[in-house]
Amino acid sequence: MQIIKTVTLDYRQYLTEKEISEIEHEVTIMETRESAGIEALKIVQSHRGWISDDSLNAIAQLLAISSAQLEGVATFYNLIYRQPVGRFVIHICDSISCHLNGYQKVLHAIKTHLGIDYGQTTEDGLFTLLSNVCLGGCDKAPVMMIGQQHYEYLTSEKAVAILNGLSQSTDGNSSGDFLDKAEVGATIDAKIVEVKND
Amino acid sequence: MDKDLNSGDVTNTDVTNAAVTNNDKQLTIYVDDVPYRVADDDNLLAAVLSKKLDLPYFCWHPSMGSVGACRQCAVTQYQDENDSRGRMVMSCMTPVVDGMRIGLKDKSSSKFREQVISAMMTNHPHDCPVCAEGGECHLQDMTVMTGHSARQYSGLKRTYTNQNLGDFVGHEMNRCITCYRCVRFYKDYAGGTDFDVFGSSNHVYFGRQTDGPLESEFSGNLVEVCPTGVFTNKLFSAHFARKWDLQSAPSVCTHCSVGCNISIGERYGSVRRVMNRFNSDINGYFLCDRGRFGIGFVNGKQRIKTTKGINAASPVQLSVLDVNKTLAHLKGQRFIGIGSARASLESNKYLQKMLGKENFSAGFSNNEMAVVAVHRDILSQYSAPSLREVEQSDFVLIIGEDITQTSPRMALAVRQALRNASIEKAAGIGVKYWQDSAVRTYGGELLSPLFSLNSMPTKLDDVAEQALILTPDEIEHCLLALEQQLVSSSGLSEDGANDDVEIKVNDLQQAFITDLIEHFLKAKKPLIIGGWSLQSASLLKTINQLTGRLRSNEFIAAVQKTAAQLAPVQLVPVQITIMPPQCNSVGLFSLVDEQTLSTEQILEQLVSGKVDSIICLEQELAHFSDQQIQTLRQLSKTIIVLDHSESKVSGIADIVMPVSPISEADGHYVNYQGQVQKYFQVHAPVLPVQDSWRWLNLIERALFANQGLSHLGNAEINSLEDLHYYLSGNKNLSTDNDDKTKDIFSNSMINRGVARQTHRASGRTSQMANTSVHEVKTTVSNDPAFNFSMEGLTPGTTPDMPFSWAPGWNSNQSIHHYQTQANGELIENKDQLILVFDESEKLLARWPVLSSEHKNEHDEGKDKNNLIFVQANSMFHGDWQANFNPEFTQMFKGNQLSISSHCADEQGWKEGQYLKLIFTSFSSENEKSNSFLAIVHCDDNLPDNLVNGNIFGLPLHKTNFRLSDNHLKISEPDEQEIAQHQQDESLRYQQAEIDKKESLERLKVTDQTIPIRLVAGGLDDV
Repeated sequence: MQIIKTVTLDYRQYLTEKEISEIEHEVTIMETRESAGIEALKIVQSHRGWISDDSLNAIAQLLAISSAQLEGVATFYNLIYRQPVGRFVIHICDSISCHLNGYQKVLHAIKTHLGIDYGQTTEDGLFTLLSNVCLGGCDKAPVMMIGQQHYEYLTSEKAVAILNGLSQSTDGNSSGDFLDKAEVGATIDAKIVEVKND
Repeated sequence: MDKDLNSGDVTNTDVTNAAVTNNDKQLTIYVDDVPYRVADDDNLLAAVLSKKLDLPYFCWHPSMGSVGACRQCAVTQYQDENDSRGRMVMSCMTPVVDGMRIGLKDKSSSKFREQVISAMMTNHPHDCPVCAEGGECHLQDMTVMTGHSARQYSGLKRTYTNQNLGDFVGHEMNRCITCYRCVRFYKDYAGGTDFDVFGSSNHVYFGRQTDGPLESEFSGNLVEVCPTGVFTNKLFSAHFARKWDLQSAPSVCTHCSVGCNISIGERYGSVRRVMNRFNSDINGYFLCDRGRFGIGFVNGKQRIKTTKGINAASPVQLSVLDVNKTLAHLKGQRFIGIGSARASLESNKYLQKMLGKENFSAGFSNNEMAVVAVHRDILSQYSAPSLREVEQSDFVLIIGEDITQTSPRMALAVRQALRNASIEKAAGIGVKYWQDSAVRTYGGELLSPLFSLNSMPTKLDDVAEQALILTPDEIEHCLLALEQQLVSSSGLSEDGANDDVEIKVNDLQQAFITDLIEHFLKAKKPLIIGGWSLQSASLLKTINQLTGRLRSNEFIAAVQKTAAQLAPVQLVPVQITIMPPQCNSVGLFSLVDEQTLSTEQILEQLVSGKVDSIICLEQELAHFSDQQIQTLRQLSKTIIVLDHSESKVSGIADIVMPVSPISEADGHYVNYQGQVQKYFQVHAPVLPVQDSWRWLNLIERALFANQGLSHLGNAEINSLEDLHYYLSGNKNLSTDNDDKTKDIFSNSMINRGVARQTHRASGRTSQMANTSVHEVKTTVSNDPAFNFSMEGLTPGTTPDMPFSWAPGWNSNQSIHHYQTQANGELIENKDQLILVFDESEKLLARWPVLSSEHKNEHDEGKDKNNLIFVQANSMFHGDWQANFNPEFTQMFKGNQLSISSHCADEQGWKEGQYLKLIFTSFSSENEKSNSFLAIVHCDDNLPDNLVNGNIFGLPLHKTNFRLSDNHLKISEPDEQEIAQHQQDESLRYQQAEIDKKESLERLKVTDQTIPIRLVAGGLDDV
């Protein structure tokens, strides 16, 4: 039987009060509700590290737009992550200046050091490696970005040292500052789900 | 033939081309130093295409405007005649300017255009042989046009995972060239929310967020909007033929009363697909999914292909003599003929003429006859706007009709009308209407006002200024209050009798009315849309009365007087259209008069013995219960049924005569406006299937003609033309003056000898080789307009184009070659034939509107049995013909009963529980066919006194009644009933799955045995 009953739970049960109030604040300063889409995604990502399908559906419901429309926004921007990422997301620039200044060697060193390729996350959940089109630091190439921080004039050794430094700073704890476990854990049961009937 | 038009009956409307240009001003541009006169407010691309010059493009669409996304239409613009270098501009984004000089042939822009294609080709796959777009691919045409003929790229191509978008639209994202047309159509133009564009740069993806059927009523247009094969027609792909091998004929959609023009394509004796056929006044470039994907009924297993009750002397074929022998036994019987709104105008007319007006029924019940009377009255007073005129409205009030489901193409037109506010706003800062993205950005959420007064939520509610959901009685009441308040706000002093009594409404209704009046008084082109869904004559009467008031000179003068200082005044009196249920409803109305029998009267006459037999002309008697059908059977001596598919009536008939459905027949339908449109045979049917009027002719000849009981005399009726002559010709015998149809019948011949097949059609000499090794002569058409051959005039030589093709333009985009200008009317335009109705006073007197008993009983709201049941409309379900498409059956999501949560609490019902509905008033307690199980669904958009049903198989007329009247009993079913119901639903779904497979297999088998027909005529013409 193909009859599918869709049970849509309330976004209020999925998103935390803090997230909702932050998003609603953005809504008040925008012309339309849908304009707050990007900010809403950033807010939820800052709390949870990435945007899951459930997060996306919940935000879409909160903003009263279709999930397809919000997905369009989420997938357009490379800093909105639609898959789980490590605590540190490495964006390494592969544009022309970095290319001319030998980013390939840096990239190779990072890949070898972490044992991952583009789009992958280390097993300890600390690092995710992504390429990036120009970070605006052409005069300081090669450049990479981790979190809010730009790292410039990279060499292979320097890059590995940076990663080691970050790794030590966490003592192997992969959950970032963003992940408020108590809050998020409580909402896992209240997923927005499609229930197949029969 | 009598070619004179009697202007009293038929008007030739001359509608200006206002949708495209607001004026007829022209200016001169120079293309490669050749001067051309073009419309002054168009973009350069449209202007160049209007002059039939070749300039490739992708993202621009004549109906959707320009966004400049694809960079394909680049041209070189020169400063003046001395400028030899020029600069590159995107022609679709450039307004035309007088004296402008551009180059199409210059090296730099030619090279640029070639390189744009070259870039697209780096990702476009080499799968043309398996692509359903092959042979009519716009991308292929444009590639050839730019001269990009060799591949240079040897790297990897980008690939995607495709989505399952449901049964209708296939998805192959690898073919995408990112022109954004699909999302612009689906989201921006048609208001769909479940389709979008994802990702960026070289990873752009068009689709749904997750797999699943497309929800828009217009998703099928993606097939035509997409310039390549990303979106394809799955039903067509399943049983495929290349466009150049299809035999096509111009046709008219049979699925609702809008009358969209379609082109039906056939190969090897089965219909393959429906494509849009451009008509600037009606459907333009777009169809709804019901029309595009609903053609399957002509290939359905329910098709009747042999006669019943007629003995054939030869096992090979049925002859006229066989029919005569059978019918000879029926001589002397007195017949009633029941016509229908899906039979052609001429068949209905013929039936009526043959049996006499006093023995003719249109198949309407008593209640429906009253609706017809009011509807006719409205048609006689006001001419309904075409869809193009609807699109120009700046105020729309929809009353009691979910047009998104009953006439979806009209709803799409209304959506466009709502954009007029932002188009006007943009014009204020000099942005042209075709600057699609700019207009949408600048306009923001600004919409022209739509007011919706319905008994169910509709898909237009999201763009409505206000959408109020009320019971049908409350809608009427609200309209009366609206009328009263409009009159008083206009300052027009009342002089009627009841004026002192103020009609009271609740706060919600008052807010609606106040808001509506404010917007209405500012409107320049207001429009009211009503319909048949609620089956209420008294509602139509109220709408009529309101319209009459709004159009009265006193009212307009009063508005102009009071509004003179404040705001712009109304320039066009309010327009009105009522949407009838079926494709030829209005044609049937033209035959209804005070003598026409209702279905109740048929039974009475049979009981009284006044008549003894009936002829059902393509009439399934949908609103007869099983018991009434049995009664009919017992009372009638003979039942003759003429139909294309099996129905309840064909099951009990003594004689069944198989008739051609739309694709195998010629005739006329009359759309909601009264516009008479001809449809043409796509292919000759396999005998004994033939046009219903041919069967009627056999009946008349056998039963009446040689006894002097008919007007037929010695007239031979071998073609539609003969029939027209017969129906219109013998004017001495035509006693009635209100014969609306005679002039149409004498004016229908326009084209002669146009080829139904493309000049590239293949296999002509061999496609019947397994039947006969001799090359078979092509079938001779009795209608000289079109040939069953690739020989003949090209499609563009007629206003009824069988398909669209132009040199270098194989896709439907070739249509601009046949338009006066891009998106303008066809060069070979013909006069519209619009039926004009005379006054219907006798009919109104015969079928008076019964005033609703329950009006103004607002105190009753507390009674918990005072619920009103209204069946929600669904474009894919509910009518007889819909059930022949297994894809439609599978789309049904289960019976539902929608109700507000407050009301559910009051009734003690819970969301998700099953309820049992027994419809008792329509016959006795024949439980099986009158009881349905449905799941309760809480919808707080609904008021507390309204229940919306979405019940599979519930006839359309079972709507709009209150529970307290014992028409409908609702109880809780036991577990066994629930289990039975779930099993039934599951079986229905599985059966549809089997039907889909079997149908495809059957069609593929019949491909191998195409019957040879020398003449596409009647029984003895083989």
